Amino acid sequence: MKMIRICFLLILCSVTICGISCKRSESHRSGNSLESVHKADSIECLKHIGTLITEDSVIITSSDGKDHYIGDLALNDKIIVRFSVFACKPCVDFIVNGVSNRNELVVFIAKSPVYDLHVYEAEMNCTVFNVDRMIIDFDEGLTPYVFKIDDEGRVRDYYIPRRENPTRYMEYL
Amino acid sequence: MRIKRTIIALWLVSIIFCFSSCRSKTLEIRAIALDFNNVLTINVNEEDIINLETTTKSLLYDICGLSVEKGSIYIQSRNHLRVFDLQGKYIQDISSRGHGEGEYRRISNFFIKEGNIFIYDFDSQSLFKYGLDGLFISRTRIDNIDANKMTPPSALFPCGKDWISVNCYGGDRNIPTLSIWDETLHTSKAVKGRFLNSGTSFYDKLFVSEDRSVLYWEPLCDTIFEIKDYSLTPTYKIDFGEKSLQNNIAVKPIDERLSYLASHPEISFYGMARWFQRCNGNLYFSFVGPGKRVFLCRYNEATGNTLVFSITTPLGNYSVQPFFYIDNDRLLMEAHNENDMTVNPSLLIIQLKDLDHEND
Repeated sequence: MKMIRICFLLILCSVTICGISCKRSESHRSGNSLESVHKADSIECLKHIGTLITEDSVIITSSDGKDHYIGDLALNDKIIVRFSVFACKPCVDFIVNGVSNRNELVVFIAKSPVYDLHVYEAEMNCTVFNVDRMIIDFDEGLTPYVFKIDDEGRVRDYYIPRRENPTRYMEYL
Repeated sequence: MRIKRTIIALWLVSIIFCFSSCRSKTLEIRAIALDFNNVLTINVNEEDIINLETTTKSLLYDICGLSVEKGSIYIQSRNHLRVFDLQGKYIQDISSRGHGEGEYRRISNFFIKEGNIFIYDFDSQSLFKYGLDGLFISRTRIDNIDANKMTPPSALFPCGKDWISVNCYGGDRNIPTLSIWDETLHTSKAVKGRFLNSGTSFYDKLFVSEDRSVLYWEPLCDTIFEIKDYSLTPTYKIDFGEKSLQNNIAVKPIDERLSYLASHPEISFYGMARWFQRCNGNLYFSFVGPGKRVFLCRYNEATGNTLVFSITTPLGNYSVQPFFYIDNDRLLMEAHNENDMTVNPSLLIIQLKDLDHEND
């Protein structure tokens, strides 16, 4: 009888230990995956910082249907949010809503009909342009990102905000 | 011995019958051949244009859905459901996005049934019901879905007393494209014949006629499907001739079709747009060609007579869009003002009888 009790206790203990260790390894793994995303993002960001984009033949269209070159617009020190109309909507909302001063914010949308731009402007309360393709896009522009342009027309402060980590985005802003 | 022979003979007859019925099903696909050498022109006059009022409260993206009821035009534009009068003056919105009572998270689709407005919200898996004045009446949550077999509807439409859903992709599970739900939205039955085998979210479209016949379309295959005996069957194949998308692309799975075109922007072809409607024995659909030029087609389902129309506006000030809606004896077609891109879309009014006259 004693033996059975001991066996039963041993089984109980081992099951409990297994459960705890599994939970720990799971949380460790999820922490790791987020960390690896951040690492990949950092590498992606480094690739684009310093890229000259004003010299490029990129044409951007404003809500009145007029075409412009990036270099012709006063975009220095503006926070430019870049996304595609096919990007994840909650991710875009998270990034756009993070910028409290709307005068600082400019949005570059890919694949948007020009007729929609003024509606975006009204809803986001900022200036919106359509830019179908940029040389600093990655994942064909489906992953939203933010950047600034310096006085020489080069990309600076390129950053990929993740909804899962709002603190980092706040630090960036 | 005789009994054995009889059984074998019966078995053979039943097999032959099965095969013949299968063959007759495949033979039912009808080609709608478009004649580009005989495109008729519809001229829309200034007085037949409804300019939807532009205010800070009434701004519209493209039109995703429209219904006309008791002197008001209800227009869905993404997550807004806005009401205008027949002259285009903005009246009000029907509810809004939010988490309060009667507020939706996202409009998947809307419709008007028995004098009430319904909004289906995929995010909250709920069907919201409002009066025509916008007052919230009730909310039905679809929460009894067996997650192992089904996904929540991505859009929901009335079909007589029952409901029909367009379903969303569910991973490895073999999810049917459409399901039919009972009146209480508690149980559903799969519509066989077409399943969601890819993870792409695409803009498919469903139309339910008053006689409960259901037409279904998905992008880039120029085919209209119909539900027959709980099975989604291809009924019409639109034939653009030399201008069609290559057949070897059109038969690929939907996600492959979309990604192929995204990576080959130089490809020029004619393709059926998302909008079609069955009315008085005719099938109407719009299609788009190179340069985003939009055409309207009317196909007589009894005679097979097919007419292609090009629509023009005064001084060419409007660009015609693929969206249209048939309201009794007239067709309302979306158009954008080319001179001012910051105003709301307009609706071109085309009398259906004028399409007959063009034919004379």
